[in-house]
Amino acid sequence: MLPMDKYIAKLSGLILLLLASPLTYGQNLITRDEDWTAINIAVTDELIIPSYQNLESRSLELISATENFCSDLSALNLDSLKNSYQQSMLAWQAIQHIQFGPITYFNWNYRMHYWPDERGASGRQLDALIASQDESVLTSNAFPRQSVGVQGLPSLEKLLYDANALSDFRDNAYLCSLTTSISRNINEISFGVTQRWMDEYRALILDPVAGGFYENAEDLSIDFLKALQESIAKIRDLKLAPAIGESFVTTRTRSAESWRSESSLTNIKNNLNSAELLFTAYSSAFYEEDITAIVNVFSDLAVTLAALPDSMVTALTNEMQYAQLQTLHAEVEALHEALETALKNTDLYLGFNSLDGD
Amino acid sequence: MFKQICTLACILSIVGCSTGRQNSTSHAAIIENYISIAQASYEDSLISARVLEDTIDAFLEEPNLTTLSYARNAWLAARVPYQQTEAFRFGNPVVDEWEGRVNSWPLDEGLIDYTAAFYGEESDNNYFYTANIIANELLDIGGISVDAAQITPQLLAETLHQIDGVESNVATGYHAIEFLLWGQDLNGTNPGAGDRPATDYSLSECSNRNCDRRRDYLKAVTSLLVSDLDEMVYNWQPGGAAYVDLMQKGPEGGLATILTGMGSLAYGELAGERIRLGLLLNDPEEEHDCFSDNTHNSHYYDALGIQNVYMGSYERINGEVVRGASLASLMAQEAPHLAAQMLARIESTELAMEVLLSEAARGNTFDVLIASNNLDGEEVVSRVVDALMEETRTIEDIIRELNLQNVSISGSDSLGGL
Repeated sequence: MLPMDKYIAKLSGLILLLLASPLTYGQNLITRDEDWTAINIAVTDELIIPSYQNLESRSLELISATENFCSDLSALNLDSLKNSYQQSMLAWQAIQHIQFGPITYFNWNYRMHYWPDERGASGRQLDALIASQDESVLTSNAFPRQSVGVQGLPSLEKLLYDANALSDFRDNAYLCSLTTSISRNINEISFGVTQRWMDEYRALILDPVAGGFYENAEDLSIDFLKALQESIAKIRDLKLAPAIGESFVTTRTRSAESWRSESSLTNIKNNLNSAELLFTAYSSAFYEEDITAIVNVFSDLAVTLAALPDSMVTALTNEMQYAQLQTLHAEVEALHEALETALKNTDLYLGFNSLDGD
Repeated sequence: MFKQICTLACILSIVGCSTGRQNSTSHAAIIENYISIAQASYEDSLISARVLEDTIDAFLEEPNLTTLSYARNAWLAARVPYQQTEAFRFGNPVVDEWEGRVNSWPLDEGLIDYTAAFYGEESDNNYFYTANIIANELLDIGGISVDAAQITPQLLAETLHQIDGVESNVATGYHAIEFLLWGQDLNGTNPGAGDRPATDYSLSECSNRNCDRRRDYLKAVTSLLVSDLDEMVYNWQPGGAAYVDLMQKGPEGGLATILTGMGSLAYGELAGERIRLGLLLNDPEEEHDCFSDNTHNSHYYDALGIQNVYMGSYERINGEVVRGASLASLMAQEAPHLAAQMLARIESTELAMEVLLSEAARGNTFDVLIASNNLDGEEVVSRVVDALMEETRTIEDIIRELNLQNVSISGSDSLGGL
């Protein structure tokens, strides 16, 4: 794995190589399949696979921390388990934007992280599961077949960050069985996705037509660009807007992602960092003015985020920080618009995506 | 329930007839016929809602199992034309902004009336989750006070519906009425629908308390549905808001609107929010008509609505047929391969939907099919999702073929991109 600065330098070299004589808007700047493939494989080897490997490592630690806590239900071990959960969540947030390929197999994406849960299905189903005390649904065969609402990181957060978590775990042995099943499930998904990227999907990246699903390498690049564009829309529409509300008096803290562990803004920082790396990788597909506009918005976002705490709950209850959250939302919107403009100026057609419309 | 979706042979005959009569299908003629179908569909929805209102009046006059079953049957019949109008929702802002008043879903029914223990006591996103308007004349929740002493259409529409900015606070529309007629489905993912007793509306043998207020609620919410549908019928007449808005878009903008409506309903709304999400969560609360277990029919008639606007043909509830220039005819002229592909996609969706109907007839309603260990059910439901996704991909191809601009298809977080 390349260190990130070397990775960026390598990509920059590739970008310079691909920047040909100025073209008029409406044309693709990358026209050769092998050039698309060069970027796709660099992204796969330097961004995607290492990120999934990191998630897999963190989830192994999560299993250990769960075992430690369940063998000794102490406050110290609970804190350690919470920390392990946080590390797994951060690792997931760094690769959450990739919503195609192996992560979509077997509903792995939803099983890892079902959110937002607008109707509270996850809480309702967790309560029902705990009340049932049914150990048979927690086996490695049965658990993946349960509702996605109880299987992944948000469920773990609910269990660990409940105000009475420690006493609840001490009073109810089923909670440890359930937590163990969730931790193992997260690890199994991480392992499965990583392996599939390293084996079959990397091969597909190198020869997209052979798989029969893509017509050419550009098609495959479009999946990455769609992931980039959609991740920004999700930050704007799902992670920020519902919590910020219309004004300081109509905020809704529980609509924020990871509000229980107070890491909503840390998640967004990780999301934007991954988005910037992905954009950098594909910037040779865009016109220079558009690249400048996008880079500038990323810089603005970094400044705004640096001034905010990790916890959106904290920021939402402070009028000055609330104003900064509104700025953050406006800048994410500006980033989305800049990306949209950049894409429109090329001949790349992204098609419909999962968040268009309402 | 009569069968309305054409077979492929029937579809081909309609396209063949259209192309045979005219050499060129103009965009303007397609839009004109689309408006005619919208007018007829909303008129039928209004007629059916008025019948529903009459049966509910009769039920409240004499609440018993028989009058309740008449009211329930009228509700089921009212869904037939209404679901077919859903293809007009997306792309027409006048309809989309109004739609929340009549078909908002999913709803946190604890806002309206009593609920069972499985429903729970609180929700992260909704302070009014168990507000129970019927039981409480005064609400004071999360800093919001509501005087609900008199339950009127105005109170429901202007104060309670989507109170606190929460979409699942649904106080009006078909599903609020459905909840009041059936009550919660207590069977989980086992067969069986809601079974609210008729005595919930009896003044002499009142069950579950507050029958007078429950009667007021049912009366008010039904009256509101009728007036809302009346408004939409007017909106589609010449000079009405939806009519004017569509005409101002011009011929290409009009076609883009038609395809936006088809694609958004098929993809984000139907395949995503209403079907796949239920499968992911194995949650009977996630089925569209969750109190009555009529979800299979609602999905079926949604698919039929998409077919109606593409084929330019609609069979009214009195059997009359509205038919005219269509996108199907246009595509047969402009891109026969794509036209054939779209017809095949429509047929595939129809077949998948028919399996949903036949499963429901055997007692395997949608909530049974999405149970966590029902592998056969999962396959049946997944085929519907797959068929709708394929249909949308072809709609996307048609948009590209016609070079239409500014088409934005509504998606769903429960689906990947196309």
